[in-house]
Amino acid sequence: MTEHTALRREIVELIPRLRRFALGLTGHQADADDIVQTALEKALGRLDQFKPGTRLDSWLFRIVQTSWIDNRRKAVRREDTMDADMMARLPGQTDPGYEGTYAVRQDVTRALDSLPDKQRVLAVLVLVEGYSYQEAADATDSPIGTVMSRLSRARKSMMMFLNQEDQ
Amino acid sequence: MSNDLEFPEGITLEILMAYADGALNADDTAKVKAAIEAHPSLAEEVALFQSSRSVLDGVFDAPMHEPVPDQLSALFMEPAKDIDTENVTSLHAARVKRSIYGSPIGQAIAACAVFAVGLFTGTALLDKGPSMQSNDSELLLAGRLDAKHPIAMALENTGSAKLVEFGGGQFDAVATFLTEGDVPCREFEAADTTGAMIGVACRRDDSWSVELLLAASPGVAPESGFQLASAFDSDVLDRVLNDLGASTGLSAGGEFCLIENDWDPAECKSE
Repeated sequence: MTEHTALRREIVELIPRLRRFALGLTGHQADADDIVQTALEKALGRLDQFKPGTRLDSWLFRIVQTSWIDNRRKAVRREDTMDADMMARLPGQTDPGYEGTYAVRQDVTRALDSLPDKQRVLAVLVLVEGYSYQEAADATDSPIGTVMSRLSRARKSMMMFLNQEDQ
Repeated sequence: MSNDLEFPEGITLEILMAYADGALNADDTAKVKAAIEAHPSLAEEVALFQSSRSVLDGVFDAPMHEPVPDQLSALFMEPAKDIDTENVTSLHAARVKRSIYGSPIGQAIAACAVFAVGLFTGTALLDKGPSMQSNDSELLLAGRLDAKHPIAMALENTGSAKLVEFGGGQFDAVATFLTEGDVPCREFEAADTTGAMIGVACRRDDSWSVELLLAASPGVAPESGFQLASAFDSDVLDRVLNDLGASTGLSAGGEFCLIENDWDPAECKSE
């Protein structure tokens, strides 16, 4: 078995997490999967650049981030409408086994949409992916002080946004 | 909630966040606690940070419980080595074409209790004695799986289209469905260095019974990864599925419900 074969298998195992991370960044599963596909294509073309012994998930999250940011520069904002097929695929509406409902996700997505890109990335890494501050710093190539500053402002802004929406 | 709270000396928004996240050492935690006692309004900031974590908890978890979409898994499919790919049937294409209800062949296959060399560990796959009906490259097998066998554990706990590896072998559940008698069954693929197999197993009496196990492209060593493209007789699979009265495949949510409820369909009637 080649080294890249083992690496590819590890990447396959991480796909659900990459999709979740991208969903936190985009708010839409279809957009998220497009971002993940772009990121995976890049990663598969750069396997030689991955340093064994380092965090594969952080490496992939970085690629997803840059793919997302690149895409945002080109994207036309999608109308926030869901057709019946897309609604049927959402958890919470038709799948009672899942925690999140579409309404909750919509609110939270709007709150995350209000954040600057770098704050949003950190919010998703720490609050959705469960990264520590240091892990988030490594995944974003940022000093930990910068991470904590951006993250604290992101969380405060997000909650103020949600509280205003509730009023 | 305050927008322009002035913090006591030594207290910052970042420190309050770290306190809310349990990320401070014991000394700093004690300092923040003392500051909160002296300035109760700081507790609002801490609560805000705690809420920001709870409000996102699980909201984006759907992808963790779903099969990986084909558009992504397709990036990792590799052509089989030393196989005449012109004569190999793509399993994915075969599944798309195959209709669970549509097989024109109406004859039943007698399921025989069969002994087979176990996958992955070399231990017996089945806990009953052998009989075997073979046809060139195919083996027809049936019997109850030992609960500790890797395939049994994978059937019990793994969602469809999630590749699982065990010491040199791989398992991938293709779909989950119910029979006419509401018995949960799963179509799956498994492979190790001796070859690849496609199977159907049903959960009866708290254990998994193999209804069918077909060897696909025997002798293929999957050196480059899981061999998703292989040749097998889909008519045999169709006959077994028809005999079982297989329903259409369950949704990700329905499958998840069964896994969470010890495969009791009565708990998932709404799926």
